[in-house]
Amino acid sequence: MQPVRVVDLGEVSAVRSQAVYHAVAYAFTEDSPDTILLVSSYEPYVSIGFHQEAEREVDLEYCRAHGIPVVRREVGGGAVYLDRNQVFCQWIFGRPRVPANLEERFRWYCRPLVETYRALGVEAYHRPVNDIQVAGRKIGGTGAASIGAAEVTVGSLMFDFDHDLMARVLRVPSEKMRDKVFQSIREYVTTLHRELGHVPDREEVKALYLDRCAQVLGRPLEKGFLTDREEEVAAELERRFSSEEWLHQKGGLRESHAVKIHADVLVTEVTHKTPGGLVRLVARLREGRIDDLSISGDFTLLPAWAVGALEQALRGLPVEEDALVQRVRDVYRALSVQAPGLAPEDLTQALLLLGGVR
Amino acid sequence: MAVYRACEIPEDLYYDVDRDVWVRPESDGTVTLGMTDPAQAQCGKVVNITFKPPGKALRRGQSAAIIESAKWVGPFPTPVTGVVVAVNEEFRKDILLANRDPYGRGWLVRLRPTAWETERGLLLDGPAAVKAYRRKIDERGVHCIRCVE
Repeated sequence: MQPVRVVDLGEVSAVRSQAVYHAVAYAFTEDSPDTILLVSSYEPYVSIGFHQEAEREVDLEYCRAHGIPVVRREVGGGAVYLDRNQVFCQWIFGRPRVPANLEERFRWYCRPLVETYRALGVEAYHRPVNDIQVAGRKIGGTGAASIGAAEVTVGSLMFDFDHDLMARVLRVPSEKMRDKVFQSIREYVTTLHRELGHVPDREEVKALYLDRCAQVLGRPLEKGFLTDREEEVAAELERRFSSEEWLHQKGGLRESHAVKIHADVLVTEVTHKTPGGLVRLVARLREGRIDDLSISGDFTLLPAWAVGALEQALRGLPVEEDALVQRVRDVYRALSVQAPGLAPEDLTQALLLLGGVR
Repeated sequence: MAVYRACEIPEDLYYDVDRDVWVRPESDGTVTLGMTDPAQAQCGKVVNITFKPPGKALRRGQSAAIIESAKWVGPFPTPVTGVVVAVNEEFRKDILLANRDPYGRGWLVRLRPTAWETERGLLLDGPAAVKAYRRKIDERGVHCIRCVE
């Protein structure tokens, strides 16, 4: 069995931490060794998914003013704030040695990460398709791409995570939505720091991880370096990834209207025009149900405290017309709600927009 | 139409089995390309696509679109050299078209081929394509499912 090359790059610039695994993939040939890269960025930055539109997803002015680079990756998913408290574990393997089925591929990739967390006393598990979780909280996401002749699978060891800045760097339609994103990250994302009460030694954790990789892959690991060719491609990609043209590349056909916190949880804001005025909903959805909800707008609804009662009463419901309209009618009746131009059916139409969000 | 492990392989199309792409010659001399049923099943629900724009000349093997599915991003390579004449804008309204109807409404791009006479010979069709796909489906343990909702 051919050994797997391990290249520990330590801490590098933001753009290099992204460029380098793309470079190993682009330079990959039949003779290239399967490679595991370990790398962190010494500077905080925002990484955006391949199809995202930077202006729409990220508060670029804030990032510019605070010297936070924004780097587009050729892997999918959403915008994420990263700093030196994550060690990226990037696998660049030849296609024949990667499970063809995507779910299996993530199980294969996540196993050493899960086992490393477990060895540290954190009860992590793989939540298909591609999350790693601890008691319902996400501890790092993963992603995959076919780049050149290689298959790339990436994720991280999550030592710590800056919730505040993650919520701050995103472009969201309102501060209410930002609050909800912030609360949701706190509630649904975890780290080694949070689970253990301290940040474990990086080198020890990396050694543990590599040991688990060797076991799972059933292959020896061999420390190595990047080749001249890989460095050359990396330098080229660093230039491309730093360019305004690459950052502002147009997004794909579809725009996302939600911030995904983990596999089952997303936060979104929708607005709907009713005869009684504009209704704005900021909601957190969990497994397709309303997990948390704020209702606002320029409508009139009396008694005023009935808005809070509605928010409360709608929690836990699936985004389905019958269930929603029934519950809204019940609250209107029980509290003798007066809302000119905002009948239960109108509010329900606004709520149903949450169902179309992805 | 051949069906193997729930994967449909229409026998009236040409296939690049390695790249998982089907090709249909049209009466106006263009060719239509799309993802095969096993390809859409393996990639999972598509969440986004970026097409190469009409007018773009592509060599065989170059990417005609970049597809993002559940946490994977990869190229949609053309097995045919030619110029893009149309891309399927219907994906704007329904991003799951290829997951619902990979050989029909879920086509991806249409090209005006520039080397069709030579390149056609590199593709498989009819029983040869079905045989190659059966082998590939077995090797990869694919079982096809379609999106219906």
